[in-house]
Amino acid sequence: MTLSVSPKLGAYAAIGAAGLLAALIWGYPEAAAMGLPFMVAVLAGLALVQVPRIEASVQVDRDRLLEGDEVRLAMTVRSSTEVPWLRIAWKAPPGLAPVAGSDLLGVRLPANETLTAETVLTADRWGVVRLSGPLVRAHDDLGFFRFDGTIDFGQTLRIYPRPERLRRILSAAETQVFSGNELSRAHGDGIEFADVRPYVAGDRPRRINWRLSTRTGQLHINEMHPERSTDVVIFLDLYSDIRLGGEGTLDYAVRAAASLAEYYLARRDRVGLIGFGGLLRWLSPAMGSTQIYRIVDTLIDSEVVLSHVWRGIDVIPPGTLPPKCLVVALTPMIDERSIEALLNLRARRFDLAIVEVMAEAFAAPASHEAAILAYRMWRLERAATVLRYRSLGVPIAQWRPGRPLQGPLFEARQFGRHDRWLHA
Amino acid sequence: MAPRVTIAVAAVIGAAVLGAASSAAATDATSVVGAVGKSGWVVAVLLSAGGVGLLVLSVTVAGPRPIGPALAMLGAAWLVGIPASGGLRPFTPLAGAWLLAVGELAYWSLDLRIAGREARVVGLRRGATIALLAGGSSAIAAVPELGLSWTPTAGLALTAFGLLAVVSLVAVAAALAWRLGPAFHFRTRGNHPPSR
Repeated sequence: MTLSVSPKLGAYAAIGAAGLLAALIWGYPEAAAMGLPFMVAVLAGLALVQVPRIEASVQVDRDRLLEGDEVRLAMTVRSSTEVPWLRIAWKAPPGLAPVAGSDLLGVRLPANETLTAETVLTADRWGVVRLSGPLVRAHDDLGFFRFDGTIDFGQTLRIYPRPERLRRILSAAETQVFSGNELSRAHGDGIEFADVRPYVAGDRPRRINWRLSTRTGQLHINEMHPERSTDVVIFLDLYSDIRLGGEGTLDYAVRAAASLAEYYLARRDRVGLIGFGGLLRWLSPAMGSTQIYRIVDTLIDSEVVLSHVWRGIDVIPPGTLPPKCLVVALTPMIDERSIEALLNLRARRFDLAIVEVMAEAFAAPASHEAAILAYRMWRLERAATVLRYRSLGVPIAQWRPGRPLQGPLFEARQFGRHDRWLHA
Repeated sequence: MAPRVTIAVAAVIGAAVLGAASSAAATDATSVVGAVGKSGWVVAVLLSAGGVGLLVLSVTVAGPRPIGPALAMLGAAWLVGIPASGGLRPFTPLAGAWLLAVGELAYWSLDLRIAGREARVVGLRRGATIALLAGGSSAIAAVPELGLSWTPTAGLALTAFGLLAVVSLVAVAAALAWRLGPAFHFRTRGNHPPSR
């Protein structure tokens, strides 16, 4: 524990010494009588002080939780010496907020007895949080010395973003060869009617359209759309994060990414992830429940790493962007490198859809005229970028944080997957 | 009333009582400020008011730093206000103890600034400590005032008394170093492991 001396000790010692000195210099014994109580207090405090021998342990009831969930921390303190005044103050790390104040103040801890202090924290923001123990502060009887210590028990808490319920989201323009829930544009075995065509040798008799065959006098076959899986790659822009009041664009982008990943994986699609920023992160597309854990574990480690290196999509490992995959980009469209990378993906004929996390919600203009003008120019530039994407056939929807994600996804869906190819 | 406010009010009232007594005593012509002139008592009033003001400041907004100067000003007001003999003069040890109690109450009220749970037993213990300190120190300080026959006033006995005091002081310092040695270890900067 760290020892520090209270200003009270210095004040008392100074008053006592001043009284004694005044008595000696001016021959005024009353000055000594006035200073003597303070000297007695100082001497008593110095003689009686004991270094507390505190042992403490912290228990956490869980190590993984969703945003909004609560976690309970309990600290058990024991001391082999008596602690006259003990304070245990919990400090909530970033991403967690205390639900109920449960600090202990001015508690006497008798020797060899245990004391438990509990706190309940609620998860405000996704992320990996390193938990630190509370501040333990002990005073001696007279408050002359302070002993401070913290418990670093080295436990981390993984807070996952709470996924939003989505009803329908973007479909890929092209499907893969594996079975899934997405209706393919191709014809084959399936349950959804697609077309009819004349019978050719080898066709299955049960697929003959008897009504049309009777009318035309020639055998016709029903054709179906097969249900196939799709490959979806979530492109997360990690170059910029506009923050205001403890929230930022990245917070919402990560929540949206987790929601999308969960939705696509639930319908047996293969989902991959690219965190495109100063530090490149990627996960190759895969399916199954394991993949959702991989994705959210990668997502909660997301952070903006400052970098001035101009980086294009050529740094993305081969295989991360499989052919015919749908790329859903979540970006505040601030950094030129991300904007260029997405344009480059489109130029390479990737099926691209963009959900723009609106940075305007986190950037208010200043009051003076020049700042207002700059703000307006910035918004114009952003509008121009949006138009540029749209002219290339990229569905882009603006998502105002705090509103349901379903809205912008529906807007992007209206663009139609067929239109996306017509523009390409 | 919250305990913190109660204790802070008690400290301020205690300081005001001491300041008022000092100011009242300063009207005596035989006091230190009385020698200055008829309006010498104003010095005691100013010192008392300054002390009380600083104390109010410290317990409300400023924190513990002004408490020391506040106590010094109140003590000075007493010393310059009491008459050369008689009157409040014999009560000086009691005034010193009173001043100590005022300081303790002020520091205690500041300790309670942080919101949390306070154990009643700690409050009682701290109150008892303050009472013990004030009583003990006033008793010690009152010994010369009693004029007992066995108290040394000069010569070898007084020198022996002084030597005893010095030896006691060294013993207290040694005991302090022995007890706080491990704690001081952590004050050094470096790659020490976190304290547990």
